[in-house]
Amino acid sequence: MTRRIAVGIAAAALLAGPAKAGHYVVTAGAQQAKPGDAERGRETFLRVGCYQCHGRQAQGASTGPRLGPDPLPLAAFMRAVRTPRNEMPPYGVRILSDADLADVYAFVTARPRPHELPR
Amino acid sequence: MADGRVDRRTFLKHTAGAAAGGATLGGAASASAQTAPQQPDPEQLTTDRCGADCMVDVLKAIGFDYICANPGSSFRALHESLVNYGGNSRPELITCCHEESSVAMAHGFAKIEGKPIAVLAHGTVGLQHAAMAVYNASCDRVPVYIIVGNTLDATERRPGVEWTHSVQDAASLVRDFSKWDDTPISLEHFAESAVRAYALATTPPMGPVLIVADSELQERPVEAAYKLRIPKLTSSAAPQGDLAAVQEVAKLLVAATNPVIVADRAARTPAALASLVALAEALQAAVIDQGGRMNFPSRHPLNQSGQARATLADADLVVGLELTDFWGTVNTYRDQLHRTARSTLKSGAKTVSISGRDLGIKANYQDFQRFPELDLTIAGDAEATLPSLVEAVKRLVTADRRRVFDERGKQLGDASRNAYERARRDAGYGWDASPVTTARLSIELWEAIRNEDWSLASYLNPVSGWPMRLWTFEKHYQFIGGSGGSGIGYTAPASVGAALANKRHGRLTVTIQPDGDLMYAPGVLWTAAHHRIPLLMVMHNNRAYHQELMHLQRMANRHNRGVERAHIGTTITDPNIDYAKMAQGLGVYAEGPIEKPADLGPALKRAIAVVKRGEPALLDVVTEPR
Repeated sequence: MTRRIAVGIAAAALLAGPAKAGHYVVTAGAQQAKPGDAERGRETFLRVGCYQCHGRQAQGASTGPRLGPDPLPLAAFMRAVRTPRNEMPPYGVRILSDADLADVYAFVTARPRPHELPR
Repeated sequence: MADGRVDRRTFLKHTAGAAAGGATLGGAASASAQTAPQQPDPEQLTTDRCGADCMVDVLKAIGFDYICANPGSSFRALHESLVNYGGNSRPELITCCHEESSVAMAHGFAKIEGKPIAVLAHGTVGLQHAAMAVYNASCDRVPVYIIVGNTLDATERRPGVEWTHSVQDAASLVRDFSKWDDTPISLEHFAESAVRAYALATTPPMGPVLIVADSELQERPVEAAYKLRIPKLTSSAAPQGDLAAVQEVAKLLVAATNPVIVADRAARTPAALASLVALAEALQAAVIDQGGRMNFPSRHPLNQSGQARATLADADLVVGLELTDFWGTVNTYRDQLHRTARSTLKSGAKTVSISGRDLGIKANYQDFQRFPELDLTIAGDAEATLPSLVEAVKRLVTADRRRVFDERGKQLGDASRNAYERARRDAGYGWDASPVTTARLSIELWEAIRNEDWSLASYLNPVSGWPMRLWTFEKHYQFIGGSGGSGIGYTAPASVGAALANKRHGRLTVTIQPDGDLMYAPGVLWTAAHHRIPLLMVMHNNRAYHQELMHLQRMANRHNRGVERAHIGTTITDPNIDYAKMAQGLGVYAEGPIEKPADLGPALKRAIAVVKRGEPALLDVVTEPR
């Protein structure tokens, strides 16, 4: 499935460069970005190893929380990826571009609702 | 003695009873024999009784049900005595394909049955194979009883391999992580030390012990009339916490606004599980079960394990029961380029530990974790201390406090129910995806066994703890914790050992078997098939050493290199291992690889039918990483 979702990185305001080595900051209106592509996002999600902690369907595990289909607001999502406050390995732009990240956001947003377990 | 050489064993036949004491007498006699006229009796080539028979008498007197062994010449006499003189019954010899499997089987057995079984191994190569499993048992505070063969007397060693399989101090290899050992030099010494070893192994804090069975002592002839005296085995009462300190803990618990009880390796028996329930209910206090043992019913309203961090953040008193890592319980640690830590407790929260861990602490191996700054520590076994703590609490609870407790209990019950509903909802994400999610695997397995008398023998971290979130664990044998030392290769043999213990009770043993773990010593599947040990193994086959893959990812991201090559050395692909074929080749019923979630339920029904016939079965399920 290819699904385009306008993730609006400009509004989310991601600064795509390091403030100093290993550090990234988010500022308003830093960059205009294209809408994310869910299918490309799925490929990126696997390629850069998001699935290792969050599962291939972004369903979450003990190693990383569920990411979709109702992800964090984009700005918070970006911050969590670039400058995680917790145990998550940081993803700098050299290994995950802003465009790739937008695709990943589109992918996790496109995840289906959960199956309802029988009682 | 055709060449005039003295055969010490032949000479000692005349003094067999006393000769069990051996070395000094044998040495003096040899010197005398060498100067005596060479008119020997016809060479004695056989004997009806040997030292190993006496050792078997000792093992029977102690009461071992099984003895796990991969055969080795350093204990050939003991092996022969077990199966012939001992009738291969109590103990029955369990044929293992690796000493690590032998020890891990004993590890799993002990946690189900509450008593050790024995292991036989070479003192050198066998014990080296076994060492990692001994370490696991040590970290997990589990009694494992190991007998190693060795030939101490250099003049009695056969040329060649018997030298490479002999050692001056066999037990030194595992002394850092075993509780006690001895190298007896007489049968009387063996009997005394064997009984002492059992008593020490089973006294909390429990742990592995090791007895060296010298090959000369095993093989030496013993006169028919010789009667070895075997000391009486007396089990020690477990060390209880000081009563005054226990009463102080009771006061703190009753006065606290939000007391939290955290249990790790606290409950070895059903009685301890019941005591912890009684304590929690008397206080209507939150309980966090860290999973070292089956400490607390998973669906009990006071069980807050699913929201441990939030529960601890709100606590004004934390009482830890046999915690492996108290510091890690009340601090968060951030594994980034610059490592940081912070307390998760609010200011003024008090901390109390009841644990026997420090009673058995050693220096070299660092399983004791970071030093926690606590307000009150009680050096005593938590299980043994719980009854007095329960009584002390009950005496202090007033009607006013009871009303407060009841209100607290209602809130905790709501939180517990909400956590369960969240878990059910979360388990539905990725439901139909392939590879199979660990949540789907856990639910399919639960639906297949929930109406059986089941026992889960595997640890839950690799499958994100789903069973503990979704299943109803109530009985002490339904969960036995993990390896202790996190040495991979534990789950498969420990599950077979647990299944061996459950067999006599007619329980259905199930295990969620990680793929990397199984590949350490898959021969244990043959052991399960050979001995008709009923066990359902459902594989969590994520085709990786996934914990290490995540570590590689962490390093690669930290160094701005990306994860594209993190699979090198961490994945188990190309070729994918066909575990079903492997298991079938070892005599185990197997199906797989199962990649479609909908195929899992029917496969489970077929496999359970096999297990109910008394045989092992394996389902290879290709799964999500965690």
